[in-house]
Amino acid sequence: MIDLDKLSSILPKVEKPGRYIGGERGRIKKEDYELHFLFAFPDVYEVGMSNLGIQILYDIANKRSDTFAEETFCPFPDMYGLMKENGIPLYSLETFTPAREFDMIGFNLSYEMCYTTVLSMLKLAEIPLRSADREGFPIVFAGGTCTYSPEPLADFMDAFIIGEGEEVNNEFMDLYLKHKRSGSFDRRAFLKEAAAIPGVYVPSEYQFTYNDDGTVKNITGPQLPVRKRFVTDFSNAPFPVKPVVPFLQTVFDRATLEIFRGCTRGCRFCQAGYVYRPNRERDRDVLLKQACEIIDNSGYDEVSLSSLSSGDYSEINELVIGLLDTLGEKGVSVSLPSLRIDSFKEEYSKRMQSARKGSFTFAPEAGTQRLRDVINKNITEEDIERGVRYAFESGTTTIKLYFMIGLPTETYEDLDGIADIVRKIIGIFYDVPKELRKGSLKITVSTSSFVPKPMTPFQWEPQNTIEELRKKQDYLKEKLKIRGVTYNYHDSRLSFLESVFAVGDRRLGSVLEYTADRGAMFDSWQDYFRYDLYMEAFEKTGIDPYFYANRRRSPDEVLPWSHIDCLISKEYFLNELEQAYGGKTTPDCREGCNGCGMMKQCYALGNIRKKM
Amino acid sequence: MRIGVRFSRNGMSRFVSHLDMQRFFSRAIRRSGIEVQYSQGFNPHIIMSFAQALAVGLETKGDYLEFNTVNDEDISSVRERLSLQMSSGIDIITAGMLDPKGKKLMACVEAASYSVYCSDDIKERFAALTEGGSYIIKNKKGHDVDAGQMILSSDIMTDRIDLMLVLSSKMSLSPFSLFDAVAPGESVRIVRNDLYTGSGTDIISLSGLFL
Repeated sequence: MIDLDKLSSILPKVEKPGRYIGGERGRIKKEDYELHFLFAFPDVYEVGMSNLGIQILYDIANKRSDTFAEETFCPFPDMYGLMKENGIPLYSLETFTPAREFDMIGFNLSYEMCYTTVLSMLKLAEIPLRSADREGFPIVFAGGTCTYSPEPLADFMDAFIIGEGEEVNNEFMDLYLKHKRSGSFDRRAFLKEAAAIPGVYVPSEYQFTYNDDGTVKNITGPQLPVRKRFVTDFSNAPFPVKPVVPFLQTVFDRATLEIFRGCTRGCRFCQAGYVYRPNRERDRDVLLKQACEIIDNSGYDEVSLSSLSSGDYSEINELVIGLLDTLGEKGVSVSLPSLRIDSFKEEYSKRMQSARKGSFTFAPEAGTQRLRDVINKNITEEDIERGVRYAFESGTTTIKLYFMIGLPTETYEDLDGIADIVRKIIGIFYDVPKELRKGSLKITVSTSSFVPKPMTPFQWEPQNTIEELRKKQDYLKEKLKIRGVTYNYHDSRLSFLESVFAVGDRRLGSVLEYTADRGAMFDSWQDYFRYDLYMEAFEKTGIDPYFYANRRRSPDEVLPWSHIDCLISKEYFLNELEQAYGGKTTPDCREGCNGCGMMKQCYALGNIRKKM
Repeated sequence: MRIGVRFSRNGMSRFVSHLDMQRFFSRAIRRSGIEVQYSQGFNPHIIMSFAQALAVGLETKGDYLEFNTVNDEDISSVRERLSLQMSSGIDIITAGMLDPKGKKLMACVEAASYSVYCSDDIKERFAALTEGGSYIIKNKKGHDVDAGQMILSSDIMTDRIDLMLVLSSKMSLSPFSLFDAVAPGESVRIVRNDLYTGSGTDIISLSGLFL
């Protein structure tokens, strides 16, 4: 255990000390166990505690009688500095045990710009950064969506879990225990054997060769490709009904139900939409039961339905009405994030409004129908109009709109389209009878910059340069100088680096090490983002970042993630790319199988009825 | 029915902020299933108030909160049901009925007693500084206040100093401010023992208001 007196002496000096004390309701304590597991989240407590994936895996690991899983988050820079100064290493929140004393540490990687935070946590834990130097230290591995293109962290991770961790984590732990019980734990032997587990990628067992032009020539290794794992019986998959209830207000400070996993829409820029396939719904009765249990165990007064597109749940009306009926009398409200405009259904949105009034958020992603067809965001102008009209009629005056700039084939006409949509929405507002409108209209337009993501049809696309993105942002700034309209945009330098690390290979490890050695972490927090340090690192290591972010990759190229298989075929992605260029949309796969490569899995799940 | 609860907190939970304590107790009450009164309006919340805010880092053996139940409840069952919903380091000491027509607990508090665990050196410094009866220090807002006037009593014990300090809506002295002045830069462990109402010789613990 770390020195609690020392810890207590620094806590009064930091912001939100409640982040560092554990002791929340629902946190697990165990005495007898063989495997000591630490879940590490590379962001601050409030963000990490809102991550549903970690909650699910924490619950599963602790259901094992042989395992005690604890949690840790990255101390915010104020605390990080004081811990270093006082010699307090990274520790777990359950028992204040130093991270380096655990058997295994599992990191969650949900965003490329958390990589330096991962390394900073290892540093604070006093664990060698490179896997090769880690003899006698815990097994450090990672899961999460970034592992579909894991190479930038390949030198630092002993293993990656590809796909969903619910089952494969257990196999990985079983193997660890087998080796531990044998008496003398041999790290190398364990990793060698782990490399054969389906869904486990052990980067040190794979070799990369490169062509003269810098592209990957060849990848060799024990599993080629490493196929992603996923849960087949989603209704009965374990779900934490006794969640840890934080003292602090977290980002998602409420009960969460995962209503389905996967997405049938096929937006061409969206990695989650592809890697979480096949679509799997949880039974409505199971969800209602889970909701009641979570509310009783947590005391939350809000239930949120989580999925990639909540309105697509096949019995969404029945589910929401069921939840309102059972939980309404307990004073619990129901919220639905990620609701698509076209699945906007009046019956229940009316009832939900009675519980909570707020803003309406729409994500058309592109300003013109042409570009929306390119990205396969199958929303029409009429859908948007119908959605906002209804929102205004029910008393909402705040609209949030999300768009992406720098999308493939984008022209300035598409940017004009964004302003056109905003004007149209303003027109609709004043169209609505005055007695139904409450107050003045506020529209917030946010643009993010397109990042080509692995495992999408756009994985071969280049990203706009920082300068191009800035010009577009400046253009929109002018175009959106409209009363009541606020325009926000993402830092294009951050999007650029996100791109580099999204599509990068293992040579980027030296860049991450260089920046982390000089204190980079929390890159996605504006105040701590050190772009110049990254540029310095690229120069010092002789790595050209534009090669990764701004180059069009050829379809014949060996991509740095071609040894990882998300079960969707390359042919399908290439065909989708071609369709995008032709402005042709691909229908929702519930309307008929599009042949993405997961037909067998969908057939087994009953998503498609007849064999095609 | 108006119910008062006396609770304690110690260990690492002393770093929970006041706002987070409110959220914690609201959720504990919801989990307990005790039917309590809610505010009206868009975001109904449990009508609950603390007798005093607890500063971050302060341990306590005697802090209070109050709420109203919808129905008449058996008080020992309320205590037990709430006790089951506590968290590491936070405990229910007792619960009692309060006069439904009485003033809010927060309006009753006049003083608080503390134990300050410190070295002999700090004890001596404290004794020297407070000897004269008047002792000017800076409060949290940086204003000069006469701490001497607000120390109702002090007893120097073998391992600690026991203090009774003024704590009311008009005037209060934080033990942290006091010991920042006595021993700048040194951290001392401070435990609040109880909250009091009344004045002079009629001073009684808030738990004395439980019927």
